[in-house]
This record gives sequence, structure tokens and C-alpha cells, in this order.
Amino acid sequence: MIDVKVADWVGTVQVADFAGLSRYDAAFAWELRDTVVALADDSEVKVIVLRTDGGDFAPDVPGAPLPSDRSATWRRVFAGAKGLYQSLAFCKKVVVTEVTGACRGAGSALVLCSDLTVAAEESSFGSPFLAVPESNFVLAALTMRLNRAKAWAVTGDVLDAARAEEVGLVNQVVPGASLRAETDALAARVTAMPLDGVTMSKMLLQAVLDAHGVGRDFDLATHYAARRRHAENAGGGAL
Amino acid sequence: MTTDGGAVELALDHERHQAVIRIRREEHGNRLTRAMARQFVAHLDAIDADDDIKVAVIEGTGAHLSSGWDPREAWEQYVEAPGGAVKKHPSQRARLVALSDEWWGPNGLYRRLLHCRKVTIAKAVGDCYETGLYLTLCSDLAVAHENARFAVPRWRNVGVDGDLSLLIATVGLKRTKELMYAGTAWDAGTASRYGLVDGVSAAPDEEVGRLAEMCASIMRDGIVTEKYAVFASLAKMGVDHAFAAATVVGASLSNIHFQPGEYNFLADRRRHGTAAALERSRRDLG
Repeated sequence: MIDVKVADWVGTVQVADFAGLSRYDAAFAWELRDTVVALADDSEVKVIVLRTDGGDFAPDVPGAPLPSDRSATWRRVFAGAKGLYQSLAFCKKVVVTEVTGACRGAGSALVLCSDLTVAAEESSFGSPFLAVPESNFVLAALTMRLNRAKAWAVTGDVLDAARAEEVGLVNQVVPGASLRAETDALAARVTAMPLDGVTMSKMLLQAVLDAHGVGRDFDLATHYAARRRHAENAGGGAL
Repeated sequence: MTTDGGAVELALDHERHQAVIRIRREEHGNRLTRAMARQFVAHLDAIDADDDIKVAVIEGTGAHLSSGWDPREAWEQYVEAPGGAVKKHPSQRARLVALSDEWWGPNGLYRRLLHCRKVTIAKAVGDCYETGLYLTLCSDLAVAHENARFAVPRWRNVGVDGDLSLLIATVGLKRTKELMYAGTAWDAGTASRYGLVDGVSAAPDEEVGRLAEMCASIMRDGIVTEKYAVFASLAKMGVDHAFAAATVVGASLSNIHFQPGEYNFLADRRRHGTAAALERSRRDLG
């Protein structure tokens, strides 16, 4: 279930967790995508906050199904230009992720697509690249720097919150008890910018991201998914 | 055009192969006017043409490197650009020309500093806002005083109208977005941790002097060769594209419509004066 509230220029999207994206739950992903797009088009919204009820942001999903590179649904909902991840990365409004607990797989892909991230001290971030082919490596390289992004992708290391802040993956690390208040305060700060300014700033950023190849990397999701399918079929496990 | 006695001075020391470009408008926080930006660019031209100069130090007199560009020219710069005074409101072409010619274009301050053929070292002291931040960003090396603060307060008032590509390459994407959207000011330690400056010192004069001496000991061909290698990388990174995009979006942002209750700096300035508007618009920097 997706709960949506709009108040004081902030659209808040709250779910139990985002693990459904790692399970390739197309109905959940499409509803989330539609919610984000509707808030992006809402003239009463400058900021979109993605948060959970308070548990893990996106717990690990053992035995998660493979995305099918041959599936029209997967391309439309997850990998395509109008799918969830690109709707977030190229959103017209500022997207804030509020992370508590485990952030794995698709959760980390969401963090990479969002503009700002506030994390609880006990949160941790798994690399999305082995399990989620829609993950955007160019965004990771721009966010963490190339060497760190490569290490994260290749080793699959889990970054604790302090390390995630150190490498630039999250903006703030705060005690769990004040996470919600700190996220709300950050969102409120963003709302000081004029509505026109928010949208035009996002357009400027989109032009720069395009020039850096972010869109092209999203286009490669089908290729990454096919590679993973071949590896699994060959019994090689992960890529 | 506003001058208020502000000037950008050039001092040359051929024996030590060093130049100093000094912003001198202390009573206004070294806020740059267009006239001063042009002086700055002329000095960069002179340094580039002087084979005996290898290093240029960029600094301000008084407490701040630069606390921005002069808001009194925010509107005037468009009116005085070609095509700017034809109608009541400056044309879009005038806004584009003004932003390109003075700041982001081939002969604008930031691109010209970024493409200086000699080593440039910024001494970041006090408020390094807007212009001060981009002077730091476009220099090759930067040393911050412990009291330095880096921010672009204007972005909260209108939206983001500056380069993003160089900023992202230097500090990373999410930190850039923090500066873009959250009205954040980075202290010197944070700027150092993020990579915006190369070091923090209680006595930046000494550290800048040491770096300048070291760079001045490098042979001329080595310096210019390395600088052209950097220019090639900047082109590949799309920095020129980002500067052009900043010009286009900056011109559009000069035309935005404010929603009820949104803060309008120019209106505040008209009603209460420049100092009061500046104080109010920067009061709650994070």
C-alpha cells in the first residue's frame, strides 16, 4: 500500500518498504511510478519524499526473480524511459529518500536516482549492480566517484551509514530517533526555492546528466539483464 | 554601471614568476561588479601573455574572497546589454548576451579563469559565496582559511543558474544537489573533505605562498603543457556545454513567475534596499 500526503509544498510517499521493487512486483512499481509522476505534475509540490513506515528501507530479498529482458512489462515499468527509475532520476521536482535499516538491491537504485538522501545511523547500503540491472552506474560514478563506484559494484560490499556519507552516497546521517524530523527539515529548506526555480533547476541538471551519459546507461539495462540471464543459465551465478 | 570604487588589481613579480589578482571592494564584501569582472579578465589576458609569469594567486582584500556579484546590477546588466532597453523589460537575447559575455561565455570571467594558461591558486577567506565559490572552483588550487564558507545563496531565491558539470566533477553529484536545493553553506572543513579546496589553514597566506613558490619552480613548458591537457579533459567532461546550459537557464530564471508567499529578492530590494534584502535572503543558510 502506498500512502501519499501533500502539505506545505512537500509530497510524502510512504510504504512499508521498497523490497517489492527487488522482487519485480510490477503492480507496486507501476503504482509508485504513477504516484511520483502525479506529484511531479502537481503545482502544489516542490519536493517528493520517499520513506518507509520505520523498518528497513529495502531489505534483502533472497532468491529474488531475475528480471526478464524479453518482458515488455519489465521494460515499461522498470527499465524504460517512462518507467520508475527514469521517472525519479529525471523528475521535475526534488526527490528526497529517507533511509532506515537495510537498503539493498532496488533500494540502493532508488537512492542513486534521488536527489538527496537522509540516513539513520544504523542504516546500511548494499550495491544494487549485481541484482538490479536497471541500476545506473553513471549515477553511481558521479555520486561516489568512479573508483568507489567500481569497488562497490565489483565487491558488492555493504556500506554502513558513516561510510555512505563519506563517499557522498548520502547527504546526512542522523540518529534514528530524529530521522523523520531531519528529513522534514531538509525538505522544508528546499521549499524555499520558487516553484519555477525548482523545475528549471531540474531541467538544467537533466541536461548535464544527459551529457554525462546517464540516459544512455539506463538504455543499457536490457543488455545487463540479458547478460545476467545468460550467466544464470550457464550456472555461473551472478555476473 | 556600478563601480563604487571597487577594483580588481594586478601585481606582477617577474623575479619570482608570480602574479596576484586582488579583488578590492572590502566595504561591500568584495562583491563583484561587471566592471570588476572585466578588469579581472583583462588581468588574466595580461598574465597569459607574460612569459615570465607562471603562477597567479587570486585573493580579496579584507575579510572575504568575494560574497557574490553585485545585486544592484541584477537587472541593470540585462538593460544595458544589446537589445536590453528596446522595451520595458529586457529581451531574452539581452539576458543571454549579458550572462554569456560577463560570466559564462568564452570571454566571461569563469570560463576565462578556468582556461588560464598559468597555474591559478585561490585564497578562500570568509564568505566565498556565488562569485567567490566559482572563483575557487575554477582555480587550479585552493587554500581555505578556517573561517571560509562556501555557498550560492542566490539559488534559493531564483533557482540554479550556474555551472553544474565542474561542481559535480569536483565534489560529487549528491553534494552538488545539496548546494543546489538545500541552501547549504559548507564550512572550510567540509569543503576540504568534499574536495572543493586542497587544504585548510589558519594562515592561508603562508600556505598559498608555499604553493606559489613550488609552482613557480616548474618549467614554463611543463605548466602550459599540463594546462592544455586539462583543457582537453574539461572539453571531454562537457564543461563548456554546462556553462552554455547555465547561460540559457540563467536567462530564463531571470523571468520567473513567483507563487504567492514565495520570496522575491528583487521586490524585497526595491522596498527595503540592497543591504536589508541581502541580509534577509542569506539569513538561514544551512
